[in-house]
Amino acid sequence: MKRNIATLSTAVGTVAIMALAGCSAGSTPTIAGCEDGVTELSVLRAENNSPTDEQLDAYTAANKCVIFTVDEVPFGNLAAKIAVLAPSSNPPDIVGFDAPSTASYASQGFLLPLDDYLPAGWFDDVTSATLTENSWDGQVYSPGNEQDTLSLYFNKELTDAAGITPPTSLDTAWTWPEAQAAMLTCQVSATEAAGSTVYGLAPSRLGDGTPGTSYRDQLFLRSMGDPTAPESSSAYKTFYAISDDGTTVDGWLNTPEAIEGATFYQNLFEGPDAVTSKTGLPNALIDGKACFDLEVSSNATTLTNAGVDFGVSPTPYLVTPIVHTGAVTFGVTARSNNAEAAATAVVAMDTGDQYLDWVENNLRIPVLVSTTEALPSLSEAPLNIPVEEIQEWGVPRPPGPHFDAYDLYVTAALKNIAYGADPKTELDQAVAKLDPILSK
Amino acid sequence: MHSGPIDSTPLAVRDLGGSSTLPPRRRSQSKIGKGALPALAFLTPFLLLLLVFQYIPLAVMARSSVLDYSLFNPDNATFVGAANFIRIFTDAETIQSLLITFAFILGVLILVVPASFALAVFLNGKLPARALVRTMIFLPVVTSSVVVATLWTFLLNETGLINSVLATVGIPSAGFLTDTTQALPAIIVMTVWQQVGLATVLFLGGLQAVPAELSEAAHMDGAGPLRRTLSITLPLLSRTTLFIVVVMTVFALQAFAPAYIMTGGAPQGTTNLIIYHIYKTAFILQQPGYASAMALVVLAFAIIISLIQMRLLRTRWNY
Amino acid sequence: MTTQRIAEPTQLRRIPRTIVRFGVSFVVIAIIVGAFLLPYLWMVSSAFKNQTAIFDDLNPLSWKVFLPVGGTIDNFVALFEKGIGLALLNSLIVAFIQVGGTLVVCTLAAYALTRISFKGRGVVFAVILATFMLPAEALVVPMYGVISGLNLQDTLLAVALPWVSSVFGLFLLKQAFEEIPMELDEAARLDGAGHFRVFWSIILPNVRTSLATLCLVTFLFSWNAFLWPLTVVQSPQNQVVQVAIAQSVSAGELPNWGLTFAGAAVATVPLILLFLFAQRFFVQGLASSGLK
Repeated sequence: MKRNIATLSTAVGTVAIMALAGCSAGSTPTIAGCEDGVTELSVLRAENNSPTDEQLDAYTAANKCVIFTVDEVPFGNLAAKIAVLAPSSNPPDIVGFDAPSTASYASQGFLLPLDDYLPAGWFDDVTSATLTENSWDGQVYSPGNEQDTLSLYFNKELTDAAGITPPTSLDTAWTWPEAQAAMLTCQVSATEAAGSTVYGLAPSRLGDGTPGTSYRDQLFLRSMGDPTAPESSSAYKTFYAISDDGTTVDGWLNTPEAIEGATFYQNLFEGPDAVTSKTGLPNALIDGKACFDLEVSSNATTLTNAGVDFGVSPTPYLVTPIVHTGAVTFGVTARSNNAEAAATAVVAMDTGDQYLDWVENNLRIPVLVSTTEALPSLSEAPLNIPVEEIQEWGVPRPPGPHFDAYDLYVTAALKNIAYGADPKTELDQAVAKLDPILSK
Repeated sequence: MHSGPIDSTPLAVRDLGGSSTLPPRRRSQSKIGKGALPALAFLTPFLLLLLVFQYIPLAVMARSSVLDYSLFNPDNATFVGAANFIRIFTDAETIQSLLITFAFILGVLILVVPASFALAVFLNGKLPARALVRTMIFLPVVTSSVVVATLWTFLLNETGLINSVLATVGIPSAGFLTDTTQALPAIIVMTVWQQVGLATVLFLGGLQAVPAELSEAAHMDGAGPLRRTLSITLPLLSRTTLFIVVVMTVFALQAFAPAYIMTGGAPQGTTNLIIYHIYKTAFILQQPGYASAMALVVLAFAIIISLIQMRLLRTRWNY
Repeated sequence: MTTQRIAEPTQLRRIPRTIVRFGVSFVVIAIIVGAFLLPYLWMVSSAFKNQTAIFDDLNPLSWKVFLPVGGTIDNFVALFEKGIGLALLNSLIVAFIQVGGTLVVCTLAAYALTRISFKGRGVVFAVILATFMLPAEALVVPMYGVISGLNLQDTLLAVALPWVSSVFGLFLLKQAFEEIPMELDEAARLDGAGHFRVFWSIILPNVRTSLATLCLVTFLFSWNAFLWPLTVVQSPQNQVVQVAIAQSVSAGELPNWGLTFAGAAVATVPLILLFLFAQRFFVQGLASSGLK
């Protein structure tokens, strides 16, 4: 009878509500030997990113009166979740975030400065890109957890069959025209051999899998610049892509050199020399649907596990070699109720012996020079390429408190360019949209 | 169970009004059970929830629309008066978004109304496999917008099913979502695909309410099927049609998944539907004040449309 | 007289007309099947294939596209390892809360508006009607503010609660209640029944069909909701299935097609099955409510 069903579902619903309400209550556990009480620190992080369980457990092992509760979200949702939790009444104590967003979060009062907690000698030991990325207005907001960058991975079987030998050291790195020619050759030969389309360059999986993600694609613009040129020159500005005070991109993002770089980028997608696809193709390199792929350092592990015979080559360049640095890092929220405990924990996890152990066990690229020197695996293939790229070519993504907006509009412009729009128009439009936001 | 004289003609017929041969509309006003107190008891849950989740957000939004602040630091808000509203009409991206949404709504209406009418006529006839057809066109209606958008992302992909089918007839692959002239039409077709089942069923209900006698009388007088449709059926369906137009308009105005899942507004903003633009402005660009102002403008549009409907239908709400 | 005159010509024209009719209907059915059924078949059969198999069947196009030939359940296994079972459960819980809540709240309110006469009934009506015109998506940002003010953010209750006071449900029930003659009320009152008794014993049993329709339609809305759950829930363990599968398509990493199809299939098939069994209620309920 429908009435009974209605009654039943009401009853179930009521029970569910009560159960859910009950579930939200919790209590801090007690641990023997901690007379001062147990400190429970809440952590928000992106899935598969730092601070990892390994790092947190190692800290608890050394400081048993501090425990962690972790909340994790897919990386693409991390920024949104932070935006939602920041004004709430109980923000997390420790939060993982993408390093380029540091200035954004710090300038809005979301993060706690950690200068007082950093060990002596830290400022000399940390790589300069990391220091720039994790600072705002003269203060440091995260000790930096790892560095990462893109390198050009290639499928050895396909490149050998096409008669191509990509360079394996930074001195012999390809220029983009050279790389494109090699990709085209490989594309033709592999497509013929496979009987179905094999791309020279895999469509990027970054972002949502469509072209334009600035982490990779803005390199085409910035690589046309020259950091050694005079500061007022167009070449200098092209390289840095945002004014020093972060208030404008006009004349920095839409320079003639940048437009030239964008035009080259466009011809990777369209025209007779196209080597990649405008629509996403997941796992292209692993599935043998592409010869080359610009990927982060963890791709080495992925490819090894998939049994692909691969090699690593430095990222190609146009005029000046350049790679973007910046990876996920973590810090302390300014409104945390356990600020001191959290700050101490964060610094301990990212410096000293605990850091060294973690880097070694997980094959990450560290932010501290001393740690890099202590690990021989970092000077061997396949990690040596990204490590050297970071040291010699690495620059952070254009810093500033409005990085999210910057990233959004530059990515959108690059995507439109990949789809065939006029580069000059797109870059000018991006500038027109960004300048009002940046100048606030 | 029922006792006493019951009017068994469908409500729809009664509402056609005008004809004096139809029974008068029964007034449902009760003369028993007066009193505000029991009414309050029964109404409180509904009204309380309505107040908390509709009216208070509306008020909050109205307040936010004159402020400039970030979601990080809501306390740190500055009063900007009408600046947000002025910006709506001067910001190229917002204007484009409004125009795109408008074009989207128009495109959906132009395709959905005739198509669903034709299908309803088909389903109203005596042709075979009607139930099967009705089930199939209703499948997308019960499918969530997320799954529809996901499915169509793959259908429209460069190497997706549609291009694959085109290839078998020798037509080269179309860019669809990567082409500035094809992206918006593609999501319009997708939305029509999703909603045509609902519109058809609504039309069907209206068609079935058309009294058969009128049709037969016209048939007797020698009117052909087309003439009958144009002169009898369509005018009697005007109320249903209007309702469908309004429902489809509101659905189209609220479209979010196509932009969020499929295109991110690209290429060149040709699929930057207004709700997605508002979401992006609030949550990614951290400008909830401006987003609230835009939302108020969208709300105003929706209210105007609904008021037009109410006016045209001249509905009498019985109290 | 007139009838006789018309009969003759139609007799001659009857045969070709039938052929035309069947021809037209065949074409229409073929188009409908092609446009509506085949994409679903593609989706479900691709869910059983791995990435390479999906592409191979597309280029060039083969009939295998629509059937899970050489199928594998790897995608589903991976999905459940990723936790879609939990997302399904969350969606179910939210739907339960929403359906239960809507039934309770809307039946009570509809009773008050149709069976009790009180001063200000018109005002209440207008107040409720006004919100009908507000598109929910535009209110998402401030609604989130209210939810976090109540400290309910990131809970399943918050996903369902704002929609429990459904104006659509109210009107559906109002129409159904009005069908019931007042005489029944009066008879019960003469026997000494109070409002609640009348509501419970007289009104509710007579609107079963409408209640069923409301349940189904509310379940549909709840299960398919996207923007609101996306906004209000952040933790993966509280996420509902629509958002869970969307996050695998557009945010973060691009997954493989087989996995995404499997996710879409898992999110949709339960509802399609429900719809197939309860078609009558869905279709009739929507059709009759529209005319109000």
